[in-house]
Parts: sequence; structure tokens; C-alpha cells
Amino acid sequence: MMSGAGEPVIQTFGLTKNYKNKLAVDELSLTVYRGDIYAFLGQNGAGKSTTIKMLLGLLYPTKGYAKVLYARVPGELSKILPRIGVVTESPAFYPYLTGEENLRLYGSLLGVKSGKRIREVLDKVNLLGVRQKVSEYSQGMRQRLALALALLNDPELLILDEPTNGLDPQGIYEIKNIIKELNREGVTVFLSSHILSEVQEMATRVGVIHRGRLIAEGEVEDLLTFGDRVTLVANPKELVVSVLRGNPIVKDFAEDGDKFLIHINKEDVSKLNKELVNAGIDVFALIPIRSTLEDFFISITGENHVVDRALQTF
Amino acid sequence: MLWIELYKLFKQKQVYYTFLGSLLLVVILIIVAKSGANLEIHIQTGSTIDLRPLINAYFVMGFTLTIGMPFLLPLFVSLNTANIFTREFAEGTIRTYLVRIGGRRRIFIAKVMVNFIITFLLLLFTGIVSFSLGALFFGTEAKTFISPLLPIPIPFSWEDNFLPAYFYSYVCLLTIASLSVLWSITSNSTGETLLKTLSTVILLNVLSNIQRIKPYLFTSYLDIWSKAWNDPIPWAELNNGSLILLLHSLGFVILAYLFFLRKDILC
Repeated sequence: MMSGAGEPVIQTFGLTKNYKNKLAVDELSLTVYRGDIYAFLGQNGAGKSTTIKMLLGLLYPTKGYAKVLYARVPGELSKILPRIGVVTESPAFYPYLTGEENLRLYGSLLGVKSGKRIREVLDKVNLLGVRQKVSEYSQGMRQRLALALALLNDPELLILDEPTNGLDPQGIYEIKNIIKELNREGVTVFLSSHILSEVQEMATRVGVIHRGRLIAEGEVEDLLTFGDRVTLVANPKELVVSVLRGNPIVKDFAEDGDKFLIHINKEDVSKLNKELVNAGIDVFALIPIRSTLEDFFISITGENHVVDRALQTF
Repeated sequence: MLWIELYKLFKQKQVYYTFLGSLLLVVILIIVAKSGANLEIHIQTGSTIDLRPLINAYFVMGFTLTIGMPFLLPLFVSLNTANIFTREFAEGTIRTYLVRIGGRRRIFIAKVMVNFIITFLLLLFTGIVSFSLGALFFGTEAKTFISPLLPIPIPFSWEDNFLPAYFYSYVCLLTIASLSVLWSITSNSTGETLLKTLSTVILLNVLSNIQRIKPYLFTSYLDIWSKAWNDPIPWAELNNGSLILLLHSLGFVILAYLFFLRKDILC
């Protein structure tokens, strides 16, 4: 489901959190609309978790306030908790209970007494039939259990703090699919991550937090523009190289298997195409490369060391 | 929510350790009495009483309280409080609890109530076990009871001696439990809660040697239960002491609630 309904489900107004000597979140104002998959991006320590904890009433803002589903938090939080699902950073469960016992415990307090619903959500995260106590769970299993708990009350809004933390590639793939499926069913998702490649394909809107400040916010489509790089697939390669090499409109190029990656101004792409054709080269494709969230992140923060590249291949 | 809190508490093995600790206290006491240890006592008149023939279930029950109340039972009470509160902070489960259930007041009240219930159950267990094992090994035939504090045989009654002794012991332990609640809110580990609670009691006990401030320290009243062995029983003193302890308990709980209400859950 794409956003655009225009109904804000999360709003923060100048939200600020000041620890003793550290400004963790600084005058943050963001809006999440119904139907969004809103990716809240930032490096570790940027203030993502602090913001989420303020939204959930775990931390008290030094200044500013937030509204979740029109309820002001933390004051009116208990009113809206039955309508939201939450995965906190490093989710914790009672270690002396099994996963199912943990869900039953919370379920009874949330008014979900049906064993069927508990089995459904456990099945959804592949934990159905696991009899171990939570103390014996891996980090990934805890993360899955946290998602199961978040889904238990059939929420209309999911707030997920680094939901794929500790998951293996298969687990990440599954969680992403679950999130996308829930969003298609109408659930609004607000998720934080520092792994940009992970959220790019599913996010509809993003907000970038850097050193406690929201430095960009908008639709993914608007933020990720076509940049000044193109992919060229053409033959014969020797002739292509001769055209590209020393060409004043080509800033840089590199061979990548059977294709070329070319750094060139957008305006010069058609000119290059003509030159290639005139040189007798068969041009099969000349495709502008769209910038990634990572490119965007680096361009606005000026810091590329923060991007976790480990999972880019997935 | 109260049932959930009780369920969670009784799923933790640490809780059973406190009950086991009480049982062990009674067992050790019986072993000592059975082993023929020197249980003669000298009284002010200069004569000596050999306690062994007089030991019965009532003695064991009273003596368990005498041995347990100054340190062991408060330690167990603090341990249970730490398991109810601090453990949730330390393990991060309070975060999940708050974002799923919300309503800090509800959670706090349920936890405090469970804390008081478990304190009651621990004392009840101690009383029942000490009387039962005492009866098993020494019988219940003696018509007199040897007060552990005033070790001369005295006539006793359940209503006038034992029930008040256990009732006022509960009031004393409630104060310890409430103090533990306060410290548990501000601690990050169960050990920290125990240390803070017991240090407070010990330090105030030392301070209570200064007669001028003694009446203002709650620790000065933590032994009021033992006056239930006096003959006659000073009811006014017992009730005044209890009132002071209950007011302190209330103060500790209110303070803990205010801290909990504004506490940032960082972990």
C-alpha cells in the first residue's frame, strides 16, 4: 500500500532528548502517514532508538511532544497500545518461559486469549512448535518472537526498531516479506534501520536522522533521483573503449563484465549514444543508474563510513 | 495483572531459594538442638536452666523468628523484591512489558501487591515449617513456652503471643519490602538492590545508638515483634511502633512510585 491518504499516524513536534551531557535528539519533527512504510534511517547513535523510545513512553522528552494515532504520548499511551505492535531494540522476554508462554502472558493482558491467534503469529515467524525456553533462543529467534508479539493484537501501526537485527539473510528476507505483506493489508509501518540497502526496496517514505537532527524526509521516489551514471551494454568492446577513452564528455568509465559503467552528465547521454552508433557500435542498452539510499545518505550527511555494506549483496 | 505477576514470580527459581533458605534455617536450628549442644542458660538469679527438655514446637517456631528476623528474613524479602522489580530492568523485560501493556501505575501497583503477598507467604511458610518440624522432632506437649528473648518458661497462648509475634513481624518485613521497592527502582541489578537495602538497615541501626535520633529512625522499631513475648504485652508500644513502620512503608512506596513514573527506561 502506498502512502498518500494524508492521515498522520505519528507526528513529533520539536522532540528533544537531552541526557546529562549529550543532546541525543534535537528538535525532531517528523510525520508518518497512514499506509506508509516509513524508514527512519541513521547511523548507530544518531538518535533513532531514543526517538522510538520517546514515541513509546519509555523515555520522557526534555522538550517537545509526540502524537501516535492522535494520542499524545506518554500521557495517553495506554489508550493506543492495543492498536499498535512494537519491536524494540534488542527485544527482551522472560527467559524462564517458552516463546509461546511469553505470548500467552502478554496475550492475556492484551485481551488475546485465543490459542489459535498465538499459534498463527508463531507460525508466521517460523517459531511454531519450538519448545525451548527463551533463555536458549538465539538473537534471531528473539527477534522473530518480538515480531510475533507485535502482531499478536492485529495492529494497525507497527513500530519496529532495527527489526532485522541479528537475523540471517533468510530471516531478513522473510521479515521483509512479512512487513511488505502487512503493509499491503493496510498496516502502517515505522521502522528504523542503519542498513540502508535493506529498507530501500520496501520503504515508501524515509526520514534521515543525523546527530539527533532530522536532516531529510520525503517520498523515496522523490529522494532517489537518476544521477550522472549510466550502464552501457554494447559491442564490440574494443571499439567501445576507443570511443570512451579520452572522450571529453565521459568523466570516467569502468568495465564490469559485459557492460560498462560510465560517469557522465545526464545531458550528454544522448550525445554519447550518437557517437557510439556513428562509430559502428551495436548499442544494446544505455541505462541511467538510479541513485541508492546509500548515495542519498552519503550526499546529505557527508559521511560514508556509517553505511553498513555487509548486507548489500542481499 | 496481579495473577500474571504472581505467575511470573513463581516461575523464577530464585523465589524458591528464599523459601528453601527459610526451611534450611529451621532444619539447622533443629539439628543444633538435637545434637545435644550446650543449651543451658544462665539467668539473672544465678541459676541455670537446661533448655533441652523444654524445647518443643513452640520454642522452634519462636526461635526461628528470633534468629531469622534480624538478617535472614529481610535478606530473603529483599531478594524477592529485586526479582519482582530490578530483574525486569536488568533483563530489559520491563521495556516489553511497558510497550505492550502500558500504564505504569497499573504495573507498579500489581508488583507492589505481589511483593507484599510473597512476603506474607514467606513468613507463613517459615511459621508453618518451624512449627511442623518442631512438632515432629520435639512434640508439642509442654504447656510453657521458653521465650527466646527472655529465656524463662512462660505460659503462652496462640492469640496473645504467637499470632501477634508473627503479625508484627509481617509489619516489620513490609517495611523492609517497601524500602527494597524504593531501592529496586533505582538499581540496575538484584545485587545492587540487596546491598542498598541491607546497608540502609545496618547503617541506620548503627545510627540508632545515638539516643537523640533513635526515635526518628524506622530501624529502631524493626524489633517490635519481639515484644509479643513480653509478659504483660505492651500493646500500646507495639501499635505505635507498627504505625510508625507502616507510615514509613507508605512513604517508601509513594517515593518509589514517583521515581518509577518518571524513570527513563534506557536498557
